[in-house]
Amino acid sequence: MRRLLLALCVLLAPATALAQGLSINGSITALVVGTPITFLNLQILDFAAVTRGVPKTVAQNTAAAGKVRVAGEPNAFTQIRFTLPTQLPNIQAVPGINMPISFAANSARWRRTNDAAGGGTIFNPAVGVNNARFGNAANPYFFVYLGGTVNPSLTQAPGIYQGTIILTITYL
Amino acid sequence: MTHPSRWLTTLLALSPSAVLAQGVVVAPHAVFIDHATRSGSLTLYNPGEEAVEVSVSFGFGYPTTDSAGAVTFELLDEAPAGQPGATAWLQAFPRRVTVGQQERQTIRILATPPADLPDGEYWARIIVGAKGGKVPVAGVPDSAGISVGLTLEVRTVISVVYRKGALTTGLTLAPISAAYAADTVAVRVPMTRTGTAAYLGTVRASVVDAEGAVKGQEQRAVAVYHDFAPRMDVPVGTLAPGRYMVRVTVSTDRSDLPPKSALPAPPARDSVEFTVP
Repeated sequence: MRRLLLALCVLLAPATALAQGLSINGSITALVVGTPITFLNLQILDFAAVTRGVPKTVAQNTAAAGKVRVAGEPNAFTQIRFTLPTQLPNIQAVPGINMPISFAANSARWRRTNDAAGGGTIFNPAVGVNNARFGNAANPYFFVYLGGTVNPSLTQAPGIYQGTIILTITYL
Repeated sequence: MTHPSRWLTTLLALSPSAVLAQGVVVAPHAVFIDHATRSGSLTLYNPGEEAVEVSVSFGFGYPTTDSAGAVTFELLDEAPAGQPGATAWLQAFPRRVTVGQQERQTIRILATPPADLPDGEYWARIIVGAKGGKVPVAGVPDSAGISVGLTLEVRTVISVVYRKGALTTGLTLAPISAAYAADTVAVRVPMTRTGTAAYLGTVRASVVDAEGAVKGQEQRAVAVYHDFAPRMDVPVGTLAPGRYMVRVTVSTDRSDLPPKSALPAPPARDSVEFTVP
């Protein structure tokens, strides 16, 4: 019963309750069983300064790598898949002005339980992972890290090059 | 079995001090719809400080295992012929919504199955896509004014089960096998579902020595839609030479699912011996 009440607190209590601590008043209107799936996009993949004609790589084990924390049912298994762009369109130019972006076979990593620059399992983001697993009840998380490479040409047009990376988490 | 600590952990994780960036909570992680009500719901919660755009769609897929016991999953747009798919007649309301900071949103799942739908269990997957409402420009422009902005969309894929009529489930357990290497006992658990509905349960494996002392144990939740033969790695450390036994029990208890959502069935058990030379 405590479990259900606490689940309710997460999903049904006013947002202010989260900010001010836990209090339960009034009647229960719904019951939710099982740990919700939560993700937090902790860090976007940050290429910082990009220079014409100079490929720029961000490794998955650096602070500039993309980082997502996924929380869920303790010890449950999940699948991780990425859908990755190959070109970043220049949103300030006419269509067709792009910058190539690529992801090497070792540019992704997942790590159970704790966030750390080392450890975990390196994987190919184009392939994904079938046996990712949440941590135990004390830390029911796994973290996903992503690096990549942009390759601006010597004549790359100025502007903002924008793309979307899709991370798909499937409960198995 | 209760896990209050997990919820306390979740609460802590969602507290404002811990919310650093875009995120969303999706609950529950499986939706069960009965033919009598033909509806279900999802709850979304955005604990972050930025609005999140959410889209809801449907697909089809269920976990299977390869020859090595690795679990695989292929998400399809539609159910293949011969599979009991519900994808074609499920709808979500709303399909697209913006969930503001620290706001909740209910997604209704409505089913409009064919009038002559036979009794049975029908499967689908809900795909909840969420991305931040603003496009962050990550790069610092160089002298040429080049910046790179990448957004992340996270899609959470959870199961939907639609049930009509009186359903049964069960399991036949083929002989298990075990192999010891590198401080781990790899246990293969070949299962075939019986009855008219998926078998939702938990596999528990334990390794005991000749005196009955437990050297290691492992468990995993399973959903057996047809055949499923996962490999379970039981950490045991270094085993002294001798004889050992692996015991496996498969039962329909699932503490992570609503009561009665896992259909009852008798537990299945098997054991196998192995020797460490």
